[in-house]
Amino acid sequence: MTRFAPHISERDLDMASRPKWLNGSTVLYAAMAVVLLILLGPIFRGGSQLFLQRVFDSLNNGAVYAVTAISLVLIFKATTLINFAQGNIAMFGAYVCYQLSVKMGWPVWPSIFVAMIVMAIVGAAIERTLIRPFGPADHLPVVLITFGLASILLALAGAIWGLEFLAFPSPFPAKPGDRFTIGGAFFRYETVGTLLVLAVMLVVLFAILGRTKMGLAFRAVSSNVESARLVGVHTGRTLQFGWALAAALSVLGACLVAKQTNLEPSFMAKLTIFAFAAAVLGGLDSIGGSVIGAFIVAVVQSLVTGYGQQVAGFGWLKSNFALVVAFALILVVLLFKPEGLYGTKRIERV
Amino acid sequence: MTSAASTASAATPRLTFQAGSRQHRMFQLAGWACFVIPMLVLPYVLPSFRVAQLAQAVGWGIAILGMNMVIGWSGLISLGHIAFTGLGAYTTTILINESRFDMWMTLPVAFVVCFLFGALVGLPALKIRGLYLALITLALALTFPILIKIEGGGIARRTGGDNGRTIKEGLKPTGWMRSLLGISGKDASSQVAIYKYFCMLIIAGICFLLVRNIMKSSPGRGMLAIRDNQIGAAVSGVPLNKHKVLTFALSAAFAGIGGSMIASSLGAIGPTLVGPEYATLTLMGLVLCGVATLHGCWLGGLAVVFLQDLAPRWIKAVPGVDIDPIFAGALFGLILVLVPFFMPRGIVQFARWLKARFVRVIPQIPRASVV
Amino acid sequence: MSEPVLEVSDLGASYGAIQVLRNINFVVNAGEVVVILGANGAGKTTTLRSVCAMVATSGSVRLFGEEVRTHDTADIVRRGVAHVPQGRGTFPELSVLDNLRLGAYVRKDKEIASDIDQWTTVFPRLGERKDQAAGSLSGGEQQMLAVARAMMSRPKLLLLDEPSLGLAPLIIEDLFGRFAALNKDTGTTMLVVEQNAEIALDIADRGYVLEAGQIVLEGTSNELHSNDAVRAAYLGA
Repeated sequence: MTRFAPHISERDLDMASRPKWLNGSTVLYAAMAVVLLILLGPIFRGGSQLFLQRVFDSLNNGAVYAVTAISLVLIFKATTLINFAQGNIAMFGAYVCYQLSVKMGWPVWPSIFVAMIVMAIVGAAIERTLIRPFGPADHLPVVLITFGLASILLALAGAIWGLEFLAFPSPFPAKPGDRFTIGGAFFRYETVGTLLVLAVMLVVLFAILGRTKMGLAFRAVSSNVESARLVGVHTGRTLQFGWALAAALSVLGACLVAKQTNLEPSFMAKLTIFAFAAAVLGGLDSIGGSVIGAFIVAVVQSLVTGYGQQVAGFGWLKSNFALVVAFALILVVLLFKPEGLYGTKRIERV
Repeated sequence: MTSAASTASAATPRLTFQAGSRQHRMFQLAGWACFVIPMLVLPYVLPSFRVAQLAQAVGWGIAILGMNMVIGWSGLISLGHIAFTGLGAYTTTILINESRFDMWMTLPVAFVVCFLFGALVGLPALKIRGLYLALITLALALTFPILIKIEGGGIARRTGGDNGRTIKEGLKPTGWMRSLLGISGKDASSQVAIYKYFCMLIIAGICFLLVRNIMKSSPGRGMLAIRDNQIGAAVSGVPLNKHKVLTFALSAAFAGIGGSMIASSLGAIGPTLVGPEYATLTLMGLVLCGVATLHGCWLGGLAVVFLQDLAPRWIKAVPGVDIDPIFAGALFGLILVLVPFFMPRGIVQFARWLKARFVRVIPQIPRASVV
Repeated sequence: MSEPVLEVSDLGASYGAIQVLRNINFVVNAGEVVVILGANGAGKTTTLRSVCAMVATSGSVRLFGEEVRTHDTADIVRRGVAHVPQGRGTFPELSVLDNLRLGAYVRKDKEIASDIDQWTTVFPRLGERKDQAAGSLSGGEQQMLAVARAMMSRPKLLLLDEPSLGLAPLIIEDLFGRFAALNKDTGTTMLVVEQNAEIALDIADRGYVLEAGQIVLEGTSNELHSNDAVRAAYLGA
């Protein structure tokens, strides 16, 4: 069953009576523009320095959301499944890294890599034992299993390392003075580092997907799983590879953010939701799209959270602003353009 | 055509009945008695806190009934029905406390309120399918506790915010009720517990009958059609949009009734009872006990209340394991993971399968009419 | 004489509880073009899918003398079978070049690049659109891509499922001409499943007729062509 086929989809029929320009993308962009317009007043009042600061802060978040979002996208691309346990897999990896670096004295980056490898193996095992027995159309079992897995990992982490907040070592120089000053605002080294990691990761990922045989197989399975079998691709192993890669990447994301939010078993919950919002906005099967989506989400969050309180009527959402922004985004996208800004339209053959 | 004899399972059934015969009816009656008699007798023999738990279980059962409508019978994965349970619970609480409603009068209000909100949530569901729907309803489940705590517009004041609220005037039996149920004057708390329990049973019974009739009628069959083959249903004339919205609305309404009953049996409501933990618990109860079965709902309610109660004790009892009972969450997660493998259709279906190995009912062959 | 490339005996196939094929027997010898004719719903696609173990089957499927009915699809493919499914089965988001590379997925030799050159020469349109997404090609071009991809694995047996479906008559003629040329030049054995009996019988050596899941007729293409029942049902004569 191909997804990109010159067929009439029910969306096309749906939209036959609507004016051409009123499609999902324009609605999304219009919504974002409206939000920005509302905030224009407070932005001007705050001054350019504050604005720049907000933007710089959001770049850090954006990069972290992007790394986590990509792991969600990888699994969705290959299997059209949403992995509700991704966040807690990442969390567990962060704890493994903590164990290696804080408890056993290893330097930070090797700890992160080893944690990535460990969780990659776990991810592959999960695919093999828990996910493969069920067909891709069978949604309820997968929801239940990934949900249950998330709970189990949470409890396991709490059992092994306890529930208190733990301090996580920083992968980048992060003392208060470690920053550039641009236009009066602070651009932390940490942000630079995170952006660099994202860039390197993207390069490596596109190299793997574009140049290696396994990457080709992965793209084949994502595109047309039956044809992939017909060219001799072992789809099971390829999917395992996808899950392993996704697990490793999500661990990287968790380790990048753990310093900033302190380590405790549910610390990835919010980040996972933001990553979902980023992936949904950018397109659940588009890696590049989810990166763009991640930065949009981060910037919008930063601006709304930073300035929104000064706009009448927003004050009551105080503490969970960022979360509400993410939810609103997910809802709006799924309503108007479920394939996101850059995803492929899902066409169902009757 | 000979009956099901040709497709019999390997084990020969020990009991065979002709449908509609005297023996068959006696067998069915015996089965009913096995369930009904304990339901009526238990409250008198158990200590009152257990009776209160049973009452709660019935309440959760109604909430799960609502979930079953949408997940089990319609095949639409909604992870957020706990929000409707919460909506019903808070509606009841606020009406009783602020507007001096009688508990029974809040039920229709909760029903209507949840029906409307359910319809509202059902509208996006028209366009969103499958796992995307699960994602967005999950967002609903996570947002509801946050919305409860909003301080603007007097919301937090009415809902009690983080701390929740207690209900001032709960269920209390009147004089003639006491004599009807045979509870004597002395032990006030157990009286109330027993009274509450029977109130729950009555409401539950009504909901049960309502849902059963709905499922047998046109909207119900439309739901099943949508679950099994959406496109096929559409081309067969099932108005998809109307049905999906109706399904969400009805399921939300029943979930809300469940919430109202839970609140009144507990005498209080708080944000934890309507958040992600209980969303997971109700989901677990639903799938463990029986997706798309009526009886599974009550079992699910029992599961929610009693597994929560017993799980910490079981964890403590495992020798050599020194885990804080807080990690009961892992047990529920484990159940969620194992159910699709071992009992994908839940305990009730398993029991039915078991029964089918021992009992066979031969259907009545319709007589040809002689013209 | 060497053993047949493909020998199917008493094959049955079902989707769930529905039995689609019953007691199917046919043979494909080396170098032959064999066609299976049938109307919609006769079970033609299911037959090819059974050969590749993509449906639940019973009976016997022997490939190069070995029983492979219970093997994995990927395993069967690796034994030298290439299957062009109904609807082309291209990878729409991937480039034409990537599609061709995937065709050679099971190969480990060093001649893959030269093979790609060869096939883009045989099908120049593919060469022109090398870096374009396969889904943006026209129907006829996609069919050529599917065939080229199949040939990239240097198969010993080529399975073609309704290659004429959805194509304009002129393109169909061109396509089937190429199939005939392929068979003549490379000696690739072919099993073609078709509704369009006229054009299929033109290139075939032998054929079978499938109706409601059972083989009802078999013979050389000439015999089938002159058979009254076949003419009435499939050739519009």
